[in-house]
Amino acid sequence: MHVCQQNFSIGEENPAEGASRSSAVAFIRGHQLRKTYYLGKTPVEALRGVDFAIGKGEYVCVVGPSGAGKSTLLNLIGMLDSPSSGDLYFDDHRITGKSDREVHDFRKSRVAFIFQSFNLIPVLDAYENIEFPLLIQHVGKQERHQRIERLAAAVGVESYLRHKPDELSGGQRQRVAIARALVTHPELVLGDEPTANLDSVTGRKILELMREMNRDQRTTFVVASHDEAVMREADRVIRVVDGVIQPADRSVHVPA
Amino acid sequence: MYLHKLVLRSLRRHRERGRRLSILIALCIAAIVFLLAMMDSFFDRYVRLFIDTTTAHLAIVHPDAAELKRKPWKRGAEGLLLIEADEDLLSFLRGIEGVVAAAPIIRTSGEFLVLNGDQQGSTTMVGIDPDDRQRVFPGLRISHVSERRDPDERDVPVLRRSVQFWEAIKVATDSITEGDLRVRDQELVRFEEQARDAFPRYFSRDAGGDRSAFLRSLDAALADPLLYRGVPDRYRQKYDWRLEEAIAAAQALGDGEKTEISRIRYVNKQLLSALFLDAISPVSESIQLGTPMTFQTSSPREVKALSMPVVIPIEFAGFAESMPLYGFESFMAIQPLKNYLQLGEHEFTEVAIRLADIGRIDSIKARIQEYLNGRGLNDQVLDYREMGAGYLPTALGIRIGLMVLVGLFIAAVVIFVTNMILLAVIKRRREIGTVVALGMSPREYALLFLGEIFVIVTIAWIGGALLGSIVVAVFAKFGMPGMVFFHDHLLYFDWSARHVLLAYLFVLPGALAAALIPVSRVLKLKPVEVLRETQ
Repeated sequence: MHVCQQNFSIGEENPAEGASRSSAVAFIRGHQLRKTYYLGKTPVEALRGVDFAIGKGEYVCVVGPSGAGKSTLLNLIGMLDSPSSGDLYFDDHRITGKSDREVHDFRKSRVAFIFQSFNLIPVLDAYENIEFPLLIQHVGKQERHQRIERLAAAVGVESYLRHKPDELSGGQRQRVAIARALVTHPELVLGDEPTANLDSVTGRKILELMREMNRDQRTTFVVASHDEAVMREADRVIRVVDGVIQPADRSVHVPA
Repeated sequence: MYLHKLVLRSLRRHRERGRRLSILIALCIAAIVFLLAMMDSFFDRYVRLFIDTTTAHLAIVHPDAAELKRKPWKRGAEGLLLIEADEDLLSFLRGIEGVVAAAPIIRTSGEFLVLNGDQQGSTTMVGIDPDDRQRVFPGLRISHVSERRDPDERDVPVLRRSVQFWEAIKVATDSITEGDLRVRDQELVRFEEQARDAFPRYFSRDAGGDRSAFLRSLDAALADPLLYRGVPDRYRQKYDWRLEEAIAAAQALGDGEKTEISRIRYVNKQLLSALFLDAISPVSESIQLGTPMTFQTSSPREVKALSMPVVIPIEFAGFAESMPLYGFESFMAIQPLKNYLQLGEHEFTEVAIRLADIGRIDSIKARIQEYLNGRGLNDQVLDYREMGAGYLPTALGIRIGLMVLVGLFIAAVVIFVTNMILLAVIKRRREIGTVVALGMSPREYALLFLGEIFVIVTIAWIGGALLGSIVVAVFAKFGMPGMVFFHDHLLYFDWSARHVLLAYLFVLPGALAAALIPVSRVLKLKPVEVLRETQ
């Protein structure tokens, strides 16, 4: 079990991967994070005061049954949503309590997402989809082109750059989505069931690709998934049940 | 700024929707260009026609003249407000560069009556030298005129009414047409029986049901100067002033030997109308050239309530067509009018001044006013354009009506844009959630929508302005038919870049404002909710 600062021990190190490649400093840290939604007037506690820490360059898999709070946790880490209470830290900077604009700027430059249903913009071709976040970040044309070419080759979609999403297979779409996520050189990539809509062979290739990016670029990956293959690839598994992160000493079966 | 790229890409990918909206907005813009051109063309030509046929450009008037007041219909004084216009003044005016004509005028209102006392209508009588008349009012179209100078100085006015209108009255009063009949179907059958019963001489019994034959029978009755003699006693037993007057008028014609046939037909038509009031519409007598009449106006200096009017014998020698719908002015030579009104040599109600170029009106007006002030005269120079909408209610009404239409087209654009953006916000929720997750702020996405609207409106404006300009050009060349205010019933348009620009300035803010409502929903959109919906 890797331990780094405070509650970093929550979660389980994947024995298949051996020692974690994460750094010794907690890159993302949550303290007593709570999220309560309201269905009409009925409060629903999606997260009930969770503590966690994720190191820089770690590849973490968040598992748990449907409705357990995995996506909520990812959304809070990705700052797409704000917690009802508790604190979130990035590099020991407290994010909670900052203005929407500050959070947005922070997220824009440091966080990327990979979605279960790819969420490519259907009327843009693959090249334009990958280019989109670079445009938002005002990256110059030449630089944009170089990065897209490089990443497209890395994820294996260089032949399909002028294809629209509906002309691509599921695997190709997710590769484009990964390229789009990584093209801005984010420090953190959040994936919500990235292989759920893919067949097992394609899913495995995507996982290998993500792992490769994690290794090569030291990008931190936090991936929510039911997929055991994802768990196997992860440095560490965080299990969420009923809005609570299960203690590390609970056994989690991660098949070899 | 990367937004412009995104705007263009967004438009490219939502090409079909953008095209539809552009076409709709372009049509609205074309309509707005057309309406603005129509509005200004109508107003300009209406004012020009008013100036060309009624007022000239400038006038020197009494300081209490109603035209100088904000409420010109509230007269400040009884009688005529006279000014002194001597030869020095007229010479000065005629010597100003840019003045085409300066004519002293007597303008007075009154009634004209035929000699049996029937009132024929009201008129404003404009006394002006016939030689000046066309120079000062070049828009007057004179027809059927015999410009004879009466040796007794009983000059003849030219009634200001369109020839077409007069001819219509003349025809209508000479016969009974379908339009004069108030009855239809069974009522008409009953009327036929009544008429046959009263005047068996004109109506054949075996013609029953044949409307054409019945109208021909009525026409034959109208031509008989002795028709009144056949009125059955039962109609006379009950007093009816209309019938009494009609019979008296017919009796006055005698046997009709020396009476113009149209007069006989008119009197008989009045007689039949009085007898069968429910069946035949009463009519006014048409205005006949050469008919002896009187023009009765109040004495220029008498202000007492029971003062005797000045009675001027006149006869109509022709027609002056100016504004076909508003033919209230009549013209006669100024000298006989002055004689009857017993005015002094230099006494007039105004001096009308016509300019070569309306663009110089302000400087010429100032110069004249300076001259008047220099001579210690209180008279004022009136610019008829400044009289305001109170004098041109039709032009103002049409202007307001067209502005309302312009407003409706702007409202249509607002509705189109609001619908389109609302639909786009709903359809693009997933996209919005995605791009916000990718780093675009909701504010930027809202700007993206506004940018799209800006581009769509601008493209639509180019198309709409082109289309509108083509339509305006067609009406500029051929005229818009059905405009009864103008000669030949045609309104010729003037194209102006101002209208094209105004259409853009009206539509763009409206469209952007319309987009703000749905766009504000984007600002409130929480990406996490959208993403949760679409996962």
